[in-house]
Amino acid sequence: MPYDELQETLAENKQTLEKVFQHTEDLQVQMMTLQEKKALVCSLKTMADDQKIVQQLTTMEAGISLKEMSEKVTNIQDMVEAILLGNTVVLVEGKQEGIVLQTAQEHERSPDEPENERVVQGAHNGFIENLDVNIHLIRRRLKQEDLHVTYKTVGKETENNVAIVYLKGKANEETIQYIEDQLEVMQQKKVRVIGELVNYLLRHVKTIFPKKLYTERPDRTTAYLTEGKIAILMDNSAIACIVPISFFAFFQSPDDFNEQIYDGTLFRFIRLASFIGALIFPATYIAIITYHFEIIPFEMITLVKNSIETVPFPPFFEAFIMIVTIELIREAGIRLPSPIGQTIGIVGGIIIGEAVVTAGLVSNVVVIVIALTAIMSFTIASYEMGNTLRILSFPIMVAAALFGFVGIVASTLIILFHLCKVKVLNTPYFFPLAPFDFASIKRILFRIHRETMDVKKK
Amino acid sequence: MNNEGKTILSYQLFFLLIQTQIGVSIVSLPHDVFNTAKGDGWISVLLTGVVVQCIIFMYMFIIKRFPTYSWKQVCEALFGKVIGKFIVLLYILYFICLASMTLAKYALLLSAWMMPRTPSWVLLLLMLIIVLYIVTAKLEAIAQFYVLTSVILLVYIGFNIYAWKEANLTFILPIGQSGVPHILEGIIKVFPSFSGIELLLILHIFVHAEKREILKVATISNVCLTIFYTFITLTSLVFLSPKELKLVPEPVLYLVKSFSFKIIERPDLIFTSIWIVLVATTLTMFIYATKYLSLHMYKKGKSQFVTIFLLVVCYIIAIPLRKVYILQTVSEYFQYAIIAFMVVLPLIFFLITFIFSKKEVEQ
Repeated sequence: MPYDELQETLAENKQTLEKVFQHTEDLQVQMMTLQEKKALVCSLKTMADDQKIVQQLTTMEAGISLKEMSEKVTNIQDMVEAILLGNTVVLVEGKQEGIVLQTAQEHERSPDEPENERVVQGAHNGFIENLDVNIHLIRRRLKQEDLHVTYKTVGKETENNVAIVYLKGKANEETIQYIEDQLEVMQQKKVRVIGELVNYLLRHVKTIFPKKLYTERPDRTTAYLTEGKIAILMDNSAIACIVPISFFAFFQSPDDFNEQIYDGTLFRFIRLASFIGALIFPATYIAIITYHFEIIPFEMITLVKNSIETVPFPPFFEAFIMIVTIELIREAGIRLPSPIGQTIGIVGGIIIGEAVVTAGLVSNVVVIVIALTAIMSFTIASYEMGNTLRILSFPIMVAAALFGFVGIVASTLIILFHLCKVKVLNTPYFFPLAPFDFASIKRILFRIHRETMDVKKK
Repeated sequence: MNNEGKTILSYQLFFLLIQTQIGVSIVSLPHDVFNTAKGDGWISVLLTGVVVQCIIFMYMFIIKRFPTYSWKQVCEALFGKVIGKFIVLLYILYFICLASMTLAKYALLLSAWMMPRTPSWVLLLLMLIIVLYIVTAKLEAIAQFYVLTSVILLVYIGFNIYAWKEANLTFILPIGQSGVPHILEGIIKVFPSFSGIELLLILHIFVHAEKREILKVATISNVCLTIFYTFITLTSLVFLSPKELKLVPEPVLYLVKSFSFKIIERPDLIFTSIWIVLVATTLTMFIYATKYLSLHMYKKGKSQFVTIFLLVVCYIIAIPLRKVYILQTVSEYFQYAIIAFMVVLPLIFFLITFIFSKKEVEQ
């Protein structure tokens, strides 16, 4: 039955159609007269856009290129499929074929401000799941003929459109070529999310630090494009992926540029300092309590001693318990709706924190240390960098438990050297500190702009 | 190894040299030099700087004659294949010994000042892990890293400036009290602190700069280093009385220990732990030179395995050395080896190049 040819009489076709759709009530079948012929307009009310139907029927009525404008269906099966996609099929009396009108409804999220990249002041729009809209958002901010967009299709089963966006002349040609070549290879692979794509692109870069920067903000993306970076966007992903990226990009926020140099720089340094702090603060506590009690000033010794005297665990284990607890609270709260998330925060933070100290399992000092560490780790705007931070703080804690301060210095030394060593797509990751470039340090760390510097020279 | 190319910039060479030269002995330098030159130790340090500057000129003469030759090629061009190879082998052994001495001294110092209960072979292992990680990377990354770690030297300078608050200049007055022979003898004691400059002979082919520029950078680095060492020595000499200095083998650490601040009671603990960065940078360059020379000599062999092998050798040599008296006796002899490889051998090279006017053969 499904492969039956269409009949010449409209009534017969209508009957078959209603039978196939099991007399569903959102099926619209309307009789009307088109170009003085009887016609049957069939569509699903829930899938088709009424405005589009009216618009296209008017065009048909006007008689403009009726034959070329749409594709045709000749059997029931094709017709049903077309209707299910949201298209409208017009059957004309006396013809064994139907004309398909593209009338599918499209529902897009409006480009709202991304939840995880809020700014205090400034632009409040973000990318959505539609590639064209995203590129529109970029182009609107970067009205230049140099802005180059290359489309590629990737993915074997789920074909996805990928756009490579860059400023010609600023971005590195070799890198672009490399990315385009790699995307050709990706056509044969399964690609579900943009992360798979980028991870494949950067699979030779061996590092625990985030190799790419995801952003949902068009202003941030355009800022990087003008610096010569390349943005990769994919249909159905509301993020732009910026490559090649450097370490310090994760500590910048569009807010910094809106403010004066002084506060922008201050906030940037607070973020960097909290990164370092969150990395070594728990380890420092462990080292001091385990090995270097002498370093605590005389006035503080009794305070600390009273606090830790009753604790049955070694400092490493003590800190470890608290860190795991904080991680649990974070992980539990992150995907819950906010009212429940708040409850988790109260139960986890206040009740557990208070009870665990009262019970004498951990000391007050360690609660302060770990809570401060957690807050410091949240100042880092980037989710990925925060994850790296959490992972890295554990080996440093172990090193501190084994070697005290020497262990902390040794492990930070290794991390620092790792940062010097890593290159993402032939771009040094720790730029501008390694290789050392004073002019860029002024620009990236102290946020003194080239333009402002030029003005000063004049 | 060969085709690593000219990857270091001239300013990176500056930090590379300084970080290699400032190593394990920085904390004990004032004591070493005080033992022979007394209050005039700082003059010995200054004079050593002058001597090293002459050595740099000598090195540059050789380098200018053989601008693109590697150290092995220079040796072979001057002495023939067999003896040339033997000399390279001697240099490999020299750098291994230098690394082992550094390691032993590091372990000794660290267990004396910070970690008396940790077995020192574990401390050695920790250092070797750091070095292994750094030395397997490209020289370019190492050079960039050394630029960053040089910030630590500012901490040293800062603490020493702070110490001048309680300086007593009478400890070094009258200048010249110990007499010229003692001051000159002090030079020999200071020499090991300057070891590392011989790397210039090996590293110059990696530097992306004119030979004139290299000379300039080497000179600037030597001047800075001499001033730095003189300042450190002078500070210890005016801060600690001669009687104290005789008893304290690590005056720089002792000096920091005597301070205490409102928030940090014992700054020397932090000071000592960041001192291991200086040790690591020095060691890495020694091991790098050894690795480079040995890979160069036997064209075969994987760089990873060679590095691990060399580190194991250094570890085995360093294990028996980490006793105070053994180390003292050995370094007593070893300072002559340093002079031999820093001065005497290059001098022979220089003379041969000069007298027979040897030159690089254009290919």
